Amino acid sequence: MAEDTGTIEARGLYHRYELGDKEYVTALAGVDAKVSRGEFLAIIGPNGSGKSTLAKHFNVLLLPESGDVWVFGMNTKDEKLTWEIRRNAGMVFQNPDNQIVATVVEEDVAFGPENLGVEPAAIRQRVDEALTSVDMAHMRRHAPHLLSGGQKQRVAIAGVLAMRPGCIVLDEPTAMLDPRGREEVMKTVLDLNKKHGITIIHITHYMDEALYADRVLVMDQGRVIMEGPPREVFLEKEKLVSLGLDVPPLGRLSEALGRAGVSVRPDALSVEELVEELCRLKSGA
Amino acid sequence: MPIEVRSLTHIYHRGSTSEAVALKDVSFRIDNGEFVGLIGPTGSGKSTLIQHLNGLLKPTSGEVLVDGQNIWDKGMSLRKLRQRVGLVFQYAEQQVFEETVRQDIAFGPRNLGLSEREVMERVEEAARMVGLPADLLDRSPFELSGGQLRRVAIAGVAAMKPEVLILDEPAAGLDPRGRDGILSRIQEMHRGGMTVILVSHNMEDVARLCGRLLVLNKGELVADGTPREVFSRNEFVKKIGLRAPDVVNLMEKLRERGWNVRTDIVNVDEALKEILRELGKEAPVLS
Ligand SMILES: Nc1ncnc2c1ncn2[C@@H]1O[C@H](COP(=O)(O)OP(=O)(O)OP(=O)(O)O)[C@@H](O)[C@H]1O
Ligand SMILES: Nc1ncnc2c1ncn2[C@@H]1O[C@H](COP(=O)(O)OP(=O)(O)O)[C@@H](O)[C@H]1O
Ligand SMILES: [Mg+2]
Ligand SMILES: [Mg+2]
Repeated sequence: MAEDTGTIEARGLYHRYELGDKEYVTALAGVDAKVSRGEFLAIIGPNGSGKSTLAKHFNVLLLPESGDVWVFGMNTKDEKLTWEIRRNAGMVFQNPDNQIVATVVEEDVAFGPENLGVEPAAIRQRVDEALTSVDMAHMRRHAPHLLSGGQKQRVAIAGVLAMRPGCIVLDEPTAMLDPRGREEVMKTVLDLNKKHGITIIHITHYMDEALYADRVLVMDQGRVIMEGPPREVFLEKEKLVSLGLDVPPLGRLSEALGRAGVSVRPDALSVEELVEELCRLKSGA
Repeated sequence: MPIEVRSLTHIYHRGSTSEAVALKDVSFRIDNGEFVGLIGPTGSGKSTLIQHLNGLLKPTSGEVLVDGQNIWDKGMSLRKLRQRVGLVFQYAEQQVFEETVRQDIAFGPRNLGLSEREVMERVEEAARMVGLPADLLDRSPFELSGGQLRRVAIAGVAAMKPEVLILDEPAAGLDPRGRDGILSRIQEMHRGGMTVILVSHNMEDVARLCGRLLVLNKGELVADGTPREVFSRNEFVKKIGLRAPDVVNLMEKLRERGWNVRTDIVNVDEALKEILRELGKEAPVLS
């Protein structure tokens, strides 16, 4: 099968974890998912639904028990391609404190390309570019452990960028951050996606972060059970709530307004959208 | 069991080049049965502060009094203190270490001198409370998803039934139902008489749950008041890198567009009332 070199794809992906003694947990029970080049995909789903397990397959931290995963045309089962795939689909994790290895920001970012055997001059350039892209160039000589959570996560993203990936997979990168840190990271990720065309796979429990995505994939019990543009997916509030998920915080207000006979668009889910809707209604009233 | 902090200063690695002043002259008192939210940007000293409240860190200067007694006085037992003041750490993976989930949750209560049956009852009660399915109890904590592991850490502390429960970002990484579930359980424990201190980055949650907020910035206590008092100072809140609940920001933007709405609101119901009034509509009768 000639696979599309622009996409990341899981087909019939099945994965079990062994708990010792022939006992297993099925973490992925047949997942089909496709991410186009340049797409921003958000993955939401209850705890234990298989999000991280899926993400780890894109980075060859796990291999399919059955089914296949292709990253830009490369099958993850092909051992010769493991490092090339990892370079191409970098991962960023939740805890900002245990992803950073060096004692100076720029050394941390240089770590990946150094391991790839990139020339020192080229490394310098990559580090510069990566730190500039995440708006951390001015802190290049700082000690990572003294940075804020959002800054640490941006350094982790820069470390991935220095590998010149086509895709970044972020597994709850904002879960531990304060509001400003969350905003910084989301802005950075959106920027990398829109300006540099990097494919983004963003896993989150913050429903409002999914509003940034082109498409949302909803997982439950190892399966993809809904997908579509965020504003369509969030219209199915009842279904989401029954899964243990939710709509973004202002969705509650939109809904309450609707019940009170104020017909704001139900997909107005951010502060800005709701302000526009309300002003439109008021001037029309 | 009131907790009082007097002129607390904490300096990490004092005298070395990596010296860091994490807390500067912080003073406050928390009375029995309060539900206090501790908020502040990363690095503001929240985790450092709460570790002082159960004696995991020792003040560089200043004191921590529990029941009017300095916890570092001779004759005070830190072990006893930690049974009464339970702390759930920010990073759940740092708190679990036993072979099975069951053993892990049992660790604390086992030190309370309870019978094995009572210990197991507490374990199962705590697991139910945090929404951990019973079939996970015999797994290794290292075979869980991130959100499941966090529930184990909370259950371990809740099973000790402390008088004061301190939680450092307990809902980080939980799905929305898990988050609501844990927070309602915490609310129930509070109603049952427990004093609760909740560290959180979720402003919606602290606005809804806490009667009082302590705000830290760069190691200093910069505000101490009700959520309404704190969030109505939105400029100040933004300046230190926090973000008021979305409904507050919505009200503010509406005001900029000429709406005559209050901005000192903290929840959806209040926002709804303001908007309806301005649109000349009646608020529906709340069920
Ligand atoms: N190392 C492991 N060993 C055994 N089982 C595991 C392991 N890691 C995860 N699991 C199980 O696999 C299933 C999927 O877990 P996964 O970590 O992919 O979920 P998740 O969607 O990322 O959840 P969360 O939102 O809590 O991070 C769960 O039932 C979990 O208990
Ligand atoms: N173990 C430690 N060693 C040295 N410095 C630390 C340590 N823990 C925290 N700090 C520093 O103390 C300050 C407060 O940190 P912390 O209490 O973790 O804040 P918060 O929990 O509000 O994010 C920060 O400057 C941080 O870098
Ligand atoms: Mg996960
Ligand atoms: Mg902390």
